[in-house]
Amino acid sequence: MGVPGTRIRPGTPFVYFTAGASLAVRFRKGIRVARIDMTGMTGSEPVEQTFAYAPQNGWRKWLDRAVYGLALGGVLLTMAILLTIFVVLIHGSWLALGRIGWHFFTTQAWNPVPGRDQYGVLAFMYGTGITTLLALVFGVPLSLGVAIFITRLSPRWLAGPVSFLVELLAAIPSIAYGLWGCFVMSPWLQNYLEPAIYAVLRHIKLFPVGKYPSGRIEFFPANLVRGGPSGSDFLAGGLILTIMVLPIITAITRDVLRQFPAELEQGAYGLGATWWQTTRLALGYCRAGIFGAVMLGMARAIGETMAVIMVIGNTDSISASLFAGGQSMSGVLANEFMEADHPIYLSAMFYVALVLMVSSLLTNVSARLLLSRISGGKGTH
Amino acid sequence: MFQKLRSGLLAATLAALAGVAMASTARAVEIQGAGSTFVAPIMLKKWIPAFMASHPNIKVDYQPIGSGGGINGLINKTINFCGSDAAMTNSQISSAGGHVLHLPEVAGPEVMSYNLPMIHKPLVMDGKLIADIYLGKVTRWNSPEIAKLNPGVKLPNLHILVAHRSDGSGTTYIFTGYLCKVSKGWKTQVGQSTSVQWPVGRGGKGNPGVAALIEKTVGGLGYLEYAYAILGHFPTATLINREGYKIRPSIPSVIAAQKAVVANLPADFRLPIINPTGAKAYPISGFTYLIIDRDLGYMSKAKAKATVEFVHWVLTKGQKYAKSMQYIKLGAKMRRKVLAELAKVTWKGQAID
Repeated sequence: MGVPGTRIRPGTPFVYFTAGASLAVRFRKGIRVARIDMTGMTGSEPVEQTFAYAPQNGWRKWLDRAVYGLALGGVLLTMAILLTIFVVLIHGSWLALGRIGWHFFTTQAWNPVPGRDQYGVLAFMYGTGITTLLALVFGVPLSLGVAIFITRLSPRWLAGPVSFLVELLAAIPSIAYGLWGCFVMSPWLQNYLEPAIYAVLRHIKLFPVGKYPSGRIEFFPANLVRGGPSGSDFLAGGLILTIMVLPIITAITRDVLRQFPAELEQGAYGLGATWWQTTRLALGYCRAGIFGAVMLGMARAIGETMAVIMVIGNTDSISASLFAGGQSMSGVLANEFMEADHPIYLSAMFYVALVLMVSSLLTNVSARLLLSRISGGKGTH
Repeated sequence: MFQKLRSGLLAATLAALAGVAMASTARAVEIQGAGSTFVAPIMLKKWIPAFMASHPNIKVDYQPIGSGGGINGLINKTINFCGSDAAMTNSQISSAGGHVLHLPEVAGPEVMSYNLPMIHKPLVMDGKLIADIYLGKVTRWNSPEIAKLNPGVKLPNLHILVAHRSDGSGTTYIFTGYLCKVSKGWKTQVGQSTSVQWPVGRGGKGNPGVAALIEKTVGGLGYLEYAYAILGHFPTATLINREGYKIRPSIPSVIAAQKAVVANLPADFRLPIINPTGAKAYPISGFTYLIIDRDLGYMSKAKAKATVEFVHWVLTKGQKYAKSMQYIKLGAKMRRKVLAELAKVTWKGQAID
């Protein structure tokens, strides 16, 4: 598991949860062959591996049972943990669910002052969404470029070190990214990059100026850079996330591109294709795997907390300006949960957590559905 | 042979377990505190090590999980004492059983820090100006409101980048309390809490986050805890106090502020030291409290005794550590009052000696 597309063939009840459980079910039924196919990953014909399995008497039988129990226990534990999280979140947010209900999704304001108590998740959903989108807009072309360079362009002596360096980015803890973002990237953005962007984009009027009459929602700013450079804004949040999703998308895309069959590549060259035409062929051939890589990157961007709150400005505004401050769902939890000191405030925090959890589950499920359509509906789940 | 080895191992394990059990009974009392992060440096680096060195039979642990978390711990009776920068509200007190003691341990002033490298003398500000800046009414450094308080200072034509805390904190609670006191507009529009809906500005996480926001922008302004600002050599504004005097944030000016409030402090000490009278009093500071139940009957008598002993030690011998950590110790009169309050603690109705 882990890598999307690696899967046990369907046909067992537990196959949706873990490969281990699937194996366990087969063990239990005495099925002798487990097949692992790599279709989803490469789009190629099934690569089948067959394990002979011969039950014996004595200790091996007990070992089998132990493995079965362990695998089943793992599955049940996983389900129990997920269920428990949901129960706790719903229990914690019960008060807010009753008092705020659906208004949570239509309110932008977040005012935890006792007696005022106005809670809406809209600004934070927007913050999470826009920074994730920016991270993918910047990160996906960059990652694909690096992966193509490593697999198809770079001389052999350079591919290893480049790969290693990109993977090293994944090993940096997110608080280190946050501190770097706060003390290095953000001042640099404010003093160099953002003034340059500002100088160009400020003259481009995208929409007629308009503003929601209530509050600070600015869906239609005059341009994308309203407010001027600040270094603590959606752009900074998007850029720090770009760096963080880069190693994930690059590493998986690289591995997937390496699965492109040599005969196809040689065939393409034989027909007179240029390297770029061949690369496009490879990209199309591996699209399911690449999509999976992007989804994993997106999951990281949605859940990322510490690095984002160090640079995003931490305000509850909704603005289409890249230079406006914002806040993400995980960010508001990390910032305010510790001091949420009255019941409805605390309950609203649980509500945010619930929304975050459900939205990441929905993202995951829809990604899997999309993946199954891309890979041609071949035995996906 | 294996059998022998196994039983040997078993015996050894049992012996070790018994040893641990015996050691822990001999070790006696462990007490648990939780709450304020503001007080954590002195608590963890000075008070607890020094106290445990002189009281080997008591083990103190403190988890800096935030004042709100500490108060919840006290309400649920999962801890022995709570550290909090904000006093408990009436409803919190009633859910904690109705009788708690707020014992101020040290005071913490807050300073206005800014980034204006072209200005070498401390800027002068007053409460109304700070409130107007945080309300977004005053947006430029060279606006007449600032110039009026700083005659002769050449103020730059720069945007004020307003910085505030993004995390819920007692620091914000005290700061917004001050703004409520000095500005009607702030009181009606925003109010006081550990985190509020800021009309303008950007949020930074913790003191370092706010300091970073100020430092990276020429024209930045934000509020910081005194200790953090002093240790980091940040420029601080001179504030005009209630009686119209210009006051630098300093240990004497905060002790003067305590003196000003101590006379009419409510019996339970639930009053931040904001905007006090007194010619030399610095206007923004607050106590950070140790909060315990008035009756410690929910814990064992030994623990109750150890808790009181620890709190008493903090209020007496522990005070001398305040200065080196840039906290402000309690004034003498204040301390007498707090110790008298601590003497009221009981265990299931009996006095604790």
